[in-house]
Amino acid sequence: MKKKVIHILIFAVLCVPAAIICYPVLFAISGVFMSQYELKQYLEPVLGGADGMARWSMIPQIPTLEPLVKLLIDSPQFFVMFWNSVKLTVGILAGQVLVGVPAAWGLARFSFPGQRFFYTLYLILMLMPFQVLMLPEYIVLDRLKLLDTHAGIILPAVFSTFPVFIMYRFFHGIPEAVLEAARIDGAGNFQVFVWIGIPLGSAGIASAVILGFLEYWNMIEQPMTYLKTKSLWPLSLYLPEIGLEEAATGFTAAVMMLIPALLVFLGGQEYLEQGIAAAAVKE
Amino acid sequence: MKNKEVNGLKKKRLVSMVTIFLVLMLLFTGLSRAADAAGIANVSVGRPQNMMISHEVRGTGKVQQNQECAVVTEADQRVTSILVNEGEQVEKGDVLFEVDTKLLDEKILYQKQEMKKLELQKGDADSQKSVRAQQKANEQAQAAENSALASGRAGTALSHAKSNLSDAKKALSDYRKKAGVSQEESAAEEELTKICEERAEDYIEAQQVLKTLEWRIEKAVDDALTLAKQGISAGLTANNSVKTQAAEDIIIEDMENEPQMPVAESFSSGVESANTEAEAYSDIQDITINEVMPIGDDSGSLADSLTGAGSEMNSSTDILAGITPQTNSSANGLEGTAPETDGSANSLAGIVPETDSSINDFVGVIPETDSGANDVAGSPEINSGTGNSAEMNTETDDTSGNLIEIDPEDNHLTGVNNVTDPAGSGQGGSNSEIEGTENNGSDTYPEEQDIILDEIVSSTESGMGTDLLTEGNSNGKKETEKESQSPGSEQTFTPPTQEKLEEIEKKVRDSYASQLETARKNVSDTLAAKQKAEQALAVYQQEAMAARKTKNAEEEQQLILAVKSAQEAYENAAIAANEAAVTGNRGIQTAGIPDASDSTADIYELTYEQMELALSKLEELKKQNGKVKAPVDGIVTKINITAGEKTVDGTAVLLADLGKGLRFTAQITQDQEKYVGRGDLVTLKSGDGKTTLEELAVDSVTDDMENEGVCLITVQVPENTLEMGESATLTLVKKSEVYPVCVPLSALHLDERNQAYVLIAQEVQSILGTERVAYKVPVTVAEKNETYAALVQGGISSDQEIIVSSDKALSEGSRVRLKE
Repeated sequence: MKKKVIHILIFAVLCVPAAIICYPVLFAISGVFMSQYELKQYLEPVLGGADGMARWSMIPQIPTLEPLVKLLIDSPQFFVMFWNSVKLTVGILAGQVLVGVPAAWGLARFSFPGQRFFYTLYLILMLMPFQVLMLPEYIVLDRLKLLDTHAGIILPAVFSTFPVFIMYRFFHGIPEAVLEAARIDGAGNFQVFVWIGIPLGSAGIASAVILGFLEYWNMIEQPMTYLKTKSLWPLSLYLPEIGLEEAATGFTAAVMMLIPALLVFLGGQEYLEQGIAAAAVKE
Repeated sequence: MKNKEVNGLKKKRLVSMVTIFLVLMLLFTGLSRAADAAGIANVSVGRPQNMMISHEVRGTGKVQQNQECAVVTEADQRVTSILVNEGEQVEKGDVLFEVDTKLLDEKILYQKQEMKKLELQKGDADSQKSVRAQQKANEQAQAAENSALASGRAGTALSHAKSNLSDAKKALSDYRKKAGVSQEESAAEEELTKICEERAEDYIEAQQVLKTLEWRIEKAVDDALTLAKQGISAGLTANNSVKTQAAEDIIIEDMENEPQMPVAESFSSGVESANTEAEAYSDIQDITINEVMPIGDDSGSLADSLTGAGSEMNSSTDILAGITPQTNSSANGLEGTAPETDGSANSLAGIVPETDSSINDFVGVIPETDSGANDVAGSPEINSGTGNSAEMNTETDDTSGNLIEIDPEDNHLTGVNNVTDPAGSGQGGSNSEIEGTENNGSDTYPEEQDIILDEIVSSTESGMGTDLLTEGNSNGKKETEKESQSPGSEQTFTPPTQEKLEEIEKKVRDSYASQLETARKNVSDTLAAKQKAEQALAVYQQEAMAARKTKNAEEEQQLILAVKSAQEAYENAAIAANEAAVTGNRGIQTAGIPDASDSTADIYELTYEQMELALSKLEELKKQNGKVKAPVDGIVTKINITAGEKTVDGTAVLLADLGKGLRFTAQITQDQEKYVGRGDLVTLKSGDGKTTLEELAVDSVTDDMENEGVCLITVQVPENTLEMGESATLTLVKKSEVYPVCVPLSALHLDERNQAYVLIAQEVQSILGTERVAYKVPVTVAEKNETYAALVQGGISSDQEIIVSSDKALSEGSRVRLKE
């Protein structure tokens, strides 16, 4: 009984930060159903320079789907950007899987001279922030004539070290005995990788993909730096451009952007947890 | 295992959800694209061109004749037949129509008769004119004659008066000698008498100078006024003088009406003009002389001094002649008549009976005068002190006043002092008291006459407009002066300048004022001197008589009185002679005024010439047998006559003169006018399209007087190409210089401030890729025609795409899509 009381108490205490964390999402969702006029009234002190403080109401005065319709029917720009985001994210994730999985298998399962050095190099590179790599990357992309193209965004991200690090952990955790058994059965190195390594490390791959998706779907620095042509911009660059006059559209667009991430999160929640845990496990 | 299944199921649902989401997104992508595409304007663009702007002016019109020729004929002729129709071509000499020769003959006859009549009228007018000229000459001659006659009479009267005076004096001295008056006494008296006579002559002279001056002033005023009026209207002069005469007449009438001098009635009947006035005066003078004559029968000692006075009088008239050249003739006439004094006196005898009767009238009037004077005496204004009619006259005239003043003295002399008595009766009474002789009446009347005479003289002077005498006159006379001004010519004819004329008159009078004043003073001075001398003489005589105490004192008194009266008669005669000369001159001047111009004869002459011309035309038509022929080759454009009816004054048939060529006239709008100039080459195409004439020069470009905003272009048509009346189309192409930036007119727009602009389809990078957006560029139009506009360089460059047409209304920033 006493335990139950403590649970309720803890729940109540945790509800407060949970509410704080959930508020922006609820904020955005409530904004979808508000008319442009109502939004303007609430946000004008912040965005339009009017006097007073910005207010917000969770329940729209006059619920309407007009901004949604306008966004879906009347804004071809939104879809251009949406598909740009999809293209970039899918491209990056596919590349990472294609490049990162073998790399992580090699580092985790083979012994070769300098193995340790390479692993350290990967870690260092993984820890480096984008701002450090931005200029060298820019110069390289410029030389390769990849600036202002989607490839310029995708290729550097494909060779990112973070997914390799996540997957290394999973591949490294596969017992040597399982591999030995496969070899005894006559499987070569490649077969062992394809038939034993990937299925057993699929959780690692999945968590790397999900983490990657969340990161690249919201990617903002790279397109901003490397893309000049507006028609190549991803959705993440569109939202900051929306002003007070299009506040309703902005809320709707934000919610629409949330939907894929939410779906991926729901689908890969356990892998995500495993991946985060894997990243946290110290060797 | 269960967990795995749940997981698999969950994954499947997730995958399907993602798929559905993506499919939905794909669907909306397509939908929004389609919607967007529908909203974008499809435009066609073009680049600015390097080209010329050509202006084509097109106008249709008709070929017309260059000149029309009107065929006119005499009015009132009957048209028998018309041989042409409208639109018909005729050659020179072709008969156009015929008129009735019979009517024509009648007309010619009538015209000739009319001319004959006119000739006769003209003859009449000529003869009338000559008759009038003769009349005028007669009038002038008569005026001169009258003047001379009057002067002559005056001279005669003067010499009579002189001889009477000398007779009277002689009688007195004879008497005295007889009575045994001592030499000393007589010498002293003679001395006094001489002084007295000298004074009298001085007085007469002064009077004459005054009269002359007055006459001169009048003339100067008259001249000045005439000049002033001539400045206003030239033809007024004749009327003016006539009016002045009329004014004088009126004044005379006024004078008649005045109660103070009803006596004037008897004279004024004869006083119609200046001439008759003069005559009347001379008559009166004669009467005076005649009356005086019996008195001075036995006197006659001072004949020498009398003749001296007569010569003096002549010399004074000479002075008068010297002042006014016009008076020369009268002065000469006077001199001429002087030697014949006796003869003229005889001839005058015929007039004497008349004057006698007038005197009789006059005598009958005297009581009236008295009563009138008494009436007047009641008004203190006029007769302030005395209440005497004689006194009243004194106010009117100095001379008469003097005469009367002397009379009381005479009365006083005899011991009778009756101031309040009326002059005539008083005089008569005193005389009768002194002596009961019949001479008494004759003695009194001349005096009375003198008074009246002077009165009339002064009145006439005032009638002449002189201020001098009227200044001191009674109210009644002032009124007369005013009246003489009011009906005067100045006021009646030119009211606006009345003030000015008065001003002029005043100026002239002012300039003479001092002279006049001096002359007047002179007159009064001499008069006073004369009176003094006379008084001295009278006192002396009385004393002498008293000292002598002769029983014949009464007789002597009588003689002295006779001398005195003769003396006064002489003075008056001298003044009257001067007056006659002055009035005679005026008569001549009046007669000399020319008649109004008469140009009746000249007008007849001109009318005759006009009729002569008309006749020659009629005769010409007759010669042609009434056939009217075409004067030139041409086309009949209008016929104003109808067969059987009479012709009217004006154009009978109108011909288009073919000899003068044809011209084409087209209408264009005023906007196009600036592209057409004289000498520009145009192309003419006939209405049927058969004939095309190129490179014809424009003859003239003029505004159409009848239609606003329309211009007429005329082009001379070469011979034998287009026919008259044919319609044609004119085309003129005017090319401009080469403009580097020319756009189709559809690309040019005007904003709300009337600023011209073009829209440029500019490529922009947007989220949707490369798009075209319309941008406004303000431009200045250099020149434009119906399809293209040339722009001033600088606004747009030749590589920009200009939106020429659009399926939707565009504004700046509109997204556009190029048409395939």
